[in-house]
Amino acid sequence: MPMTANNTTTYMNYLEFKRALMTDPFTADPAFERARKEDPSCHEAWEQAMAFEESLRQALIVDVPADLASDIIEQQRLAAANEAPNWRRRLVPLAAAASFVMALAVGLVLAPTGGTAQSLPDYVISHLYHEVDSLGSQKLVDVADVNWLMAEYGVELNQALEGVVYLKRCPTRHGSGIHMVVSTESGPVTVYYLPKEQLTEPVLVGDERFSGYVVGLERGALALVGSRGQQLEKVERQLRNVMHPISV
Amino acid sequence: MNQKARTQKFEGLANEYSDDLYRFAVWLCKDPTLARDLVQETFLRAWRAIDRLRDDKAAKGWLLVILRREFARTFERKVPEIRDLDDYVIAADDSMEPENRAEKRMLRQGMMSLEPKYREPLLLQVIGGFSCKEIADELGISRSAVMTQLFRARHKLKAVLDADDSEQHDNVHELS
Repeated sequence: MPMTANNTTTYMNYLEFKRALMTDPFTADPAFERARKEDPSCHEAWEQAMAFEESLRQALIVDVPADLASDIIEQQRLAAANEAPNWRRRLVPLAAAASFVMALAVGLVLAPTGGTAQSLPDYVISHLYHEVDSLGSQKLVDVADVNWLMAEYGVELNQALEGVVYLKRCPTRHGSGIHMVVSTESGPVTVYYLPKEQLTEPVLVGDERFSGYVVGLERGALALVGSRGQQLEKVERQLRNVMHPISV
Repeated sequence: MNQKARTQKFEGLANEYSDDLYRFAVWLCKDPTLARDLVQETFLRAWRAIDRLRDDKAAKGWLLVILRREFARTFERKVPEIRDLDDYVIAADDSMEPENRAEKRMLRQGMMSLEPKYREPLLLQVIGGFSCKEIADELGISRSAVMTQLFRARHKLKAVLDADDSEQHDNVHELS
């Protein structure tokens, strides 16, 4: 316990000072500061402690992936694109009434739209471009890692899913999902498991470079995308054979 | 806050704090891939809750708290066996003296082998800049317990370095 001296200032003895160096070496406690400045033994201990703290700080530095911040920002944009703005939520009842009146007036029934939210094909393709480097991955992902990530989303693999060279949790239109790249003889195939997507019919996706489709599963949906014209059915069959929902 | 302001604020946070969060996550879960997922999930949660961040000065602590809780909620059980982080994420620093490199490596190994109850308060203090009281509040333990854990954490790390020093010293004797 620092002791009071001259009614206004406090000081630490050497042992207290050493303890403070081990628990809170950058404390702004006036008693600590005073001991550091006035007591040569404390000052020496402080210099040694600062050298240790610097070594510790250096040791904790690890290389950060260069694209981490941009990746985070891109994922946020994707998440934001799927959010309905507050004003739009507030105006939903009014907009619905207006649509009804309009339909009556012109004899049309307006089909529901996704508003500003990204369509499923747009999501699949834009996400693929966002992580297009994943197509160059070659190092096989540990089967155990595939299993645990699948299990996280309520899917059990009754056989090892071979050939996965990229595996990541990614944002989807509804919550997060799994982004994989499966290496095949005809080239890499991008696979998304979209746990909360509900489809009754397959949806085609693609552009001038990539093509594929999204199919509904018992739980969620599976998107498969390859180079234009690449056969994806074999990968789909493989996935359907091994993926099973974990019963709750 | 309108959407544009929210987005700007978020991007500022991502640019400023993602590195520190990643480092914290790597040492917390000891797996770079998991750490990246953890940081991304943390920022997605932060985006959804960004209106609740009133004080920008508290942003780093706020993000670290989200990350810790996300780790405890979904990631902790997936932590793989201890690996040598040097093989995964830490580039060799050629500019360092061999002696310093060895010390750094010893400290990393020491950090890897610290029990979570010692490692986590130390990470919150060194990377997060948390005070002892803030660590106590976040971990739900007393301030004196935090101080004890910090003391022991540093003591264990210093013991690792001291053991290395005496080993080197013994080797010198053997050579002479």
